Amino acid sequence: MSQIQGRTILLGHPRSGTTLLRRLLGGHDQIACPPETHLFGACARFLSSERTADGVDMGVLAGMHFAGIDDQIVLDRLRGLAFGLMDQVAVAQGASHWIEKTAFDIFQLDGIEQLCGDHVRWIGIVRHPLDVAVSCIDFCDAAGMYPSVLHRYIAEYPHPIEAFVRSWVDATEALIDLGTRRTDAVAIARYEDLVEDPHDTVGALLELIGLSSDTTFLDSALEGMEQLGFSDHKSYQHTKVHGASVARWHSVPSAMVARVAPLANPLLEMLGYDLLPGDGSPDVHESRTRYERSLAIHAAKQSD
Amino acid sequence: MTTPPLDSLLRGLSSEQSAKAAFLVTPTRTVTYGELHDGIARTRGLFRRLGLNPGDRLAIATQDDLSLAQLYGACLLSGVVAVVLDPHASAAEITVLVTKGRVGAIIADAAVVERASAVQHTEANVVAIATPGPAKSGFGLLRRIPKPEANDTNYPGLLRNEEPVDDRVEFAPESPALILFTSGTTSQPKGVVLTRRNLAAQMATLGHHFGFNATSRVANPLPTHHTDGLNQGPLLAMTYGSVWIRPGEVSMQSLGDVLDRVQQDRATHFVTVPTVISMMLRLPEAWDDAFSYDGFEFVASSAGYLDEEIWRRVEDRFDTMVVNAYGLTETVMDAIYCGPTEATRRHGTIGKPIDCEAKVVDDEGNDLDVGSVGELLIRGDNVMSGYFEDAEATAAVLTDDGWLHTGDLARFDEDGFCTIAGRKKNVIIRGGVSVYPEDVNSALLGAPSVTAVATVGIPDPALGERVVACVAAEGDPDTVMAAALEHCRRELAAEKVPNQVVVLDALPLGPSGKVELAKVTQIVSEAVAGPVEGETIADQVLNVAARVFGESADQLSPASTPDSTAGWDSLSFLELIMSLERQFDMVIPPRDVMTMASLGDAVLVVENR
Repeated sequence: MSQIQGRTILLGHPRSGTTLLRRLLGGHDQIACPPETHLFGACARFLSSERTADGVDMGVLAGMHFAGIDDQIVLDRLRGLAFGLMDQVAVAQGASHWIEKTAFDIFQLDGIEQLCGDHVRWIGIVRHPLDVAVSCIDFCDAAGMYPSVLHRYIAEYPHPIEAFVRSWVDATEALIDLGTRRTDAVAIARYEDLVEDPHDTVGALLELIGLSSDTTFLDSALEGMEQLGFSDHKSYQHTKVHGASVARWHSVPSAMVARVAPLANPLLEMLGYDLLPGDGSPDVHESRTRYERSLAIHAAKQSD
Repeated sequence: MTTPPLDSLLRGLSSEQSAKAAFLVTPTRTVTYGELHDGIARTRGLFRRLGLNPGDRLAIATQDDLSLAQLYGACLLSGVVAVVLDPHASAAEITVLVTKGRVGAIIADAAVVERASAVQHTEANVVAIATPGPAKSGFGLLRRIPKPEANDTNYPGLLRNEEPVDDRVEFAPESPALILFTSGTTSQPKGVVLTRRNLAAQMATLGHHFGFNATSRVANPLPTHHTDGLNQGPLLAMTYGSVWIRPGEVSMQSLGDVLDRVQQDRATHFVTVPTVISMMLRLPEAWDDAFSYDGFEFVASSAGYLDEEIWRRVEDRFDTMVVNAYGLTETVMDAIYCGPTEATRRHGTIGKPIDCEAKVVDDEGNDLDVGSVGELLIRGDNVMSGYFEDAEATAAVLTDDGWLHTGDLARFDEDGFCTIAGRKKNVIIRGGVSVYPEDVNSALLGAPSVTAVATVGIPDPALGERVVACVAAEGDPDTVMAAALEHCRRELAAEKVPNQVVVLDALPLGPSGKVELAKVTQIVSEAVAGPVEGETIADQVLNVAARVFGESADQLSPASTPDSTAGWDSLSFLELIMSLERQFDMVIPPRDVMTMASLGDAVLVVENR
């Protein structure tokens, strides 16, 4: 048995509770769960490739293959490097397991899975897409930028809510596909279940990664202040798990809810959420009423 | 040695036990003694409300370890007799056992109550156990199942409204404490009645011989409706205030994780059966140091024959001691021990009797000398008082002066070590579980077009024995076989379903008209041995799987998985691996065994050999 007995990748759409879950799991004395290392995303970029118009693969694996090095050798070496670094982090903390979570890794899942495959366990976390969208807008406002992996959504869809719901759909489909391919190695938790009963959810996740646990460690898991990871700006405001961020989406205009409902509902059903109302066509009467109400409020503010 | 009263032994249930100490450690939770004490006290309050008095019987059938421990502990402190049943038993079995046991109340998993609808109409009080916890969907989604409400319908939710009962009463040593059924279907279930003295004697022996104490951390994944899982699990912990570790269910694919948990939870002992010890040899090298940590003492093997070669290989490879113990439910658990010191063990034997007497006798009951083979008899405080309300069956195995006929043939050597030499009684032991041929026969006689049945055990290097039923029936053999197995899965607990059904026009009969079991065994051995046919490797793999899983080959495909194949469980999977190795004269590497999730995977492994 090696010194490191469990390696896990934690994935989820940004603002789905990945940092909260990382900090909770990191409270276990046998788990090293450092703030974002960007390690596996970098590995995925290392493995990414483009093709020329006539189909020539311009990636590292193809290049090394032409140089006489088998793909598997490249992958083994790269995995050895990445796992070696994470193992070192865990050993330094006296932990037998590590969990790596970096924001936006979910958008590079193909490369990360190609590298890690069945050498790791996978934990996913999902959250209601409209709560994710609302929180993403808050985050981008606070950060003053849109992360590059989201540029294509923002560029294509002018309504930020719709853009983030579409990125959520892609990320969630990728997670579900992963879970379908690797049923025994994947567990996907819902953010809403996590904040309602952290002990149940974390206990089940610990089971997946092969740790038995007295989950009482959760009571103090959020108390420590560690180095901040990117996008961790909000979760460090709290030392206890709470559900105040659940169902924030009710502030989203119903026309927008109706617009994204056909996109999100099939996945919402699979994940056990209530379906969003609407069939994609905006309610003209509701839109007009809302517009007139906002004009009236604006006018009232002006008169104050 | 004088057996102390059971009540004085239950240190883990005394007020001196630290409430903060761990009682139960599972992969998902740790339960302290404080929580256990509270659960037991409130369960005793529930008993009062249900009208359960000392001597009354309570049927318990649950997969939930904590509920089982609380109920068993409450029974011991209240003088209520625990009748512990298999929660996987069929509806027919549950109904028969509940009726036969004449229980005053039934506390069982909701699924058991639902399955055995007759239980709901019995005069006994029925309480359903609802077990909470997240469940996974097909793509790994964890969904929370609502916890039971604190109401009067579900155990343990209803305990919140029960008055705790903490008084301690000393009960007579000869009063019954536990009933376990050693067979139990529509035929002749026999309930082994174990008294408080029996349990106390077994616990005292384990304490002084194995050295169990409050610092022990005993990993025991065996099912709790079997005596080794129950009494070397929660009862042992409640006796010594030790930790009961449940490292997860054992299968070929999960065994590595189970051993990881044994190490992570710093178990001092690992209790298992010979089949799992055989599985350990198939693990990759990464687990060679599974027991190489401070504090681990030994692996305890019980409930079946431990092959000497496997025994030595496991000890060499894992650098640990395997203690082989012999016993029956009728002796609580173990009576004869090989180990745990070098002086007390000899490979290939079951060791020496501890705190009891043992001898071998001939067919007339005369004591036999050293080296002679005869039936093994045991006498001591650990021997049951008899079978529940069955004087005839009791008289058949218990002599007037207290000797128990084990039904096993054995011999003693000049140093006092005992070796099992065969079996006199009609029982098949598969993977440590006793399967009575009469139970299988009785069930199969109700299968479509079956007119006669004989069930035999066929030696198997991994399982000990395989259960093969030979049926006389008209019609297409494949159809008869499939229908017969389907019938068994409905009527029998999973652990009793035969590995295979062989269909004949008629069973071989002797001059007196009785079935000749020796001929049946010969026919069956020929039918289940030898390579299977098939044009391609895939065909051959599917045919091997069909034989092992008791399925028709045309019902299987490379896409077949454990979920889609009724006969695919952890034992039959091990058998599949071994059958493929024989069929294709190859050794399947541990890594391939661990990752084999479908028959398509098996085909690939063979094709790439």
